[in-house]
Amino acid sequence: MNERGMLVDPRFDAFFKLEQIDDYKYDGADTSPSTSNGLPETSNGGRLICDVCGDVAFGKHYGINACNGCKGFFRRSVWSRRQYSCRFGGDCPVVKEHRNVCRSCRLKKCFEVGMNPDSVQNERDRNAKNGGMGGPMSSPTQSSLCKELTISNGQIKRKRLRPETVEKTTQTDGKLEINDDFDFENMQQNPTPPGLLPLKIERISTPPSDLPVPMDFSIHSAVLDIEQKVFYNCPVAVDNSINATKTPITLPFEVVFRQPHLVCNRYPMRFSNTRVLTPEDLIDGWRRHFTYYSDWCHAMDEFKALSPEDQIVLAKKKIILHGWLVHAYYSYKSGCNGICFANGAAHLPEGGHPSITEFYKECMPRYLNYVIYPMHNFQMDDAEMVLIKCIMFFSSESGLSAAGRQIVSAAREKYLSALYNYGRANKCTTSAQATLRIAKFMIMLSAITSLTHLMNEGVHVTSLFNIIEFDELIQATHKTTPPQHSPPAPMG
Amino acid sequence: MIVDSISSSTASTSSSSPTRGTPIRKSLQCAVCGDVALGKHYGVNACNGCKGFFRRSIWKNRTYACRHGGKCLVAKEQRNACRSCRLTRCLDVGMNPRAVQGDTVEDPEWDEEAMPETLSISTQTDALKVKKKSHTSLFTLDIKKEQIIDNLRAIYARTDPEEFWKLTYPGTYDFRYAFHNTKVVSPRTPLTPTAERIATLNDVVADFRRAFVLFVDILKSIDQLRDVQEDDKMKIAKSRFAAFYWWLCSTWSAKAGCNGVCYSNGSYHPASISDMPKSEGKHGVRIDYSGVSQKSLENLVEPLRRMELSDEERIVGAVMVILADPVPNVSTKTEKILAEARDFYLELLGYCIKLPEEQQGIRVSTMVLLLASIMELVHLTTDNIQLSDVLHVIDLGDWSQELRDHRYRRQF
Repeated sequence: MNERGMLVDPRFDAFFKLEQIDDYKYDGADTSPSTSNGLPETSNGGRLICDVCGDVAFGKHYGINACNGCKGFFRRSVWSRRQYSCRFGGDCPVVKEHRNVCRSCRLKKCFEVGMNPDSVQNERDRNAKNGGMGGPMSSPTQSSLCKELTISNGQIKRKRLRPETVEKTTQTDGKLEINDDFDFENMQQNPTPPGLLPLKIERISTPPSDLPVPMDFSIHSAVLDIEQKVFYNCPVAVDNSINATKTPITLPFEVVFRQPHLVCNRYPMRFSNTRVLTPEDLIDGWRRHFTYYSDWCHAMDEFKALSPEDQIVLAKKKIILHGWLVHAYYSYKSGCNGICFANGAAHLPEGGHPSITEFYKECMPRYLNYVIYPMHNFQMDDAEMVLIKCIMFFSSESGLSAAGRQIVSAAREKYLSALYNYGRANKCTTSAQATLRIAKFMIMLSAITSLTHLMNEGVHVTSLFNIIEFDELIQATHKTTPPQHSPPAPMG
Repeated sequence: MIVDSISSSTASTSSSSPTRGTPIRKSLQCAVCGDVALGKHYGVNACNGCKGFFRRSIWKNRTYACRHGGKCLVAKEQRNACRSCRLTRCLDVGMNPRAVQGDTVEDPEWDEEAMPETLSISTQTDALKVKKKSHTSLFTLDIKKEQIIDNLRAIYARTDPEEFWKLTYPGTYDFRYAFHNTKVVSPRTPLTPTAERIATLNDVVADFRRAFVLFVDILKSIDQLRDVQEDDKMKIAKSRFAAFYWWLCSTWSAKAGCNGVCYSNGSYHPASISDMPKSEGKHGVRIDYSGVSQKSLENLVEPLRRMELSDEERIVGAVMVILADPVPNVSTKTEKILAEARDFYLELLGYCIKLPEEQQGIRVSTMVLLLASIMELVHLTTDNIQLSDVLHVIDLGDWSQELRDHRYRRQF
């Protein structure tokens, strides 16, 4: 099975994420010593832990092991004699990723772990050029500072740049660390293999995302799982349905959609180019797709939530669109430059069976240029295909009941959001690129809609002139859906 | 870093002023946090802290998430506690993101302060300058986008003098002549999609012609298409008019709130046959053979109504509809030009949507997804018109015969 090759994707993703790490490191952000040293969970040889927040400490400050962030915070608080009040009950956790949230609890914890306010040098050191280092000052410098204070605010502003720069650096380091660890906490909830966890941390921290990661992960993996289960549900081992194409199917869509085995056995689907497509192959492939489509619909939660009447309306309207999308995708994946069917037969742009060539005359150029080529251009993958399929399936609400419309509308928004976030997280580096990518996938659905109408006309003309003997089920399915207020067509 | 230092230093100066007895201008208060404001910044009175915070957030296109329900208090003493609520409040009080730009006033101080500093500080300064430059080019691009949107607005508002409205041009014209001399098709009467009365046959024909003139004006305004050769230009016009017309009618129907297809002359075609007056019933049935009105209402008008498009989205969306779907049988060069124009207008459409990144992306996608519904309506309408032609229900004019033949051959 060519589809087995999908197993290669996880390794490719791993390499992709490795590249993202490099991008993160060189994106111009300051790399603090803590970040570059990773995220130590325990202290090892020479590695000290801040007693206040658990960050990496660089020695004793004010009597305890303290990181640069807490050291500076404590010093500024003592200098300013600030009084903080907690808005959340006075028991906020003071850990590396949250320490900026509540200064009251942070300062309280500084005192609790033993920081000595008397060790903080007096405020005059703050105005020195090397105030951050606590070096000595000479009288002429002090005299100069006094003179500056009396001139203007601008002068004071300029003179304070150097010590503020030092403090700002500390602040920036803190922010970077907060960003990383905040994402780390979210990632803890992911069902991700342990080996991939560090990669995920680095990837998601640039840029931050509003959407919780677990939700995005579950949506596209869930629909991908459904696709694989339906695709590989093959109780019949041998393809013996080709002879069945001689038996026309006269049962209406509503009946066989519930019992798709009446249309075709579930033999293994092999979208490949092993032989030239004949009219019998076309009919057989059409039927195998019918069974596959019915199974897929019945596996979708949103579809099961619809009323039986709405289910038939929606399924009948979308079956040809679904057929074009999956045949195009699996043809693209198999490397065939034409249309591959589930029974291993294919029709190529040049040559082929005369009846098939006539049948696909109008569709083939449009199919290649507007569906296959974009798939190549964007390197569409399995997850994107199944999400696009869901969006296409739930794209319109015409003919449904009021309850059905709500279900379909909510499903469409859900899968659009999932596709955007999947592209944003895995394929594109900017939001604009992700928007453009998903917009072009939607344009592809418009081309598929056009192909559907062209094919409907093709089936009509082909049957009229007996070029290919389509049975009643195929002809009925390819008729344009009559408007709701028209009298229903007689059945059977 | 230098900019941050300046902002921080100034804030420190402000906060320490009371201790030294320096007088404070009490008349100005920061609209965001209540601190002392030193003037207007980005459209409101803002302190240096909130000014800098807002500028940094816009520059870096940051999005924050509040962990306390989005209701944190933003006051001078607590404004650092939650950046999400602070940024939200900045936008609520009216800070204008588009006013954020490179600060040229700071340049002299940067140069002066960078000179005696160490090498690392110099590197930092260079990085800041590079950032400022790239941001300036983004600003220029925004100006161009605004000009394009204004130009499109002017096209919709353009009208011919009233004495031209009743002139008619009898005779036979081909499509190419009509494209370059739209006066023979229709005068530019005001567009008033108010859906006040039920459409007559004359209303339908008049709107068809008026929409074609608008379509030609818009097509000529697309810069990227100037280099397209004449034959391909005609193919584009014939292929894309139907889709454009559907977008136009549907956006008008959504805005007017009528239950059918809305036209530019104040009339509309009801979706339900029972709403048609008896005198028009016979023709109405034939005009809407495939139930297209009902389909357009369900698949296009209602989604558009729920989205509540802005005027900008409506007019840029029309260009997006013209350019989005491929045009069959044009040259390779033209295909490339169309692809570039499509990318540009998709980006412009995103620019019109003032929402966070993800919502913007999804909204653009939802609008583009409607193209599939438009494509279906174009196919069904082609059947409609073909049947009308056979029955000689409507006389659409000789100039549109090529347009209709193009549709009958499904060249769209």
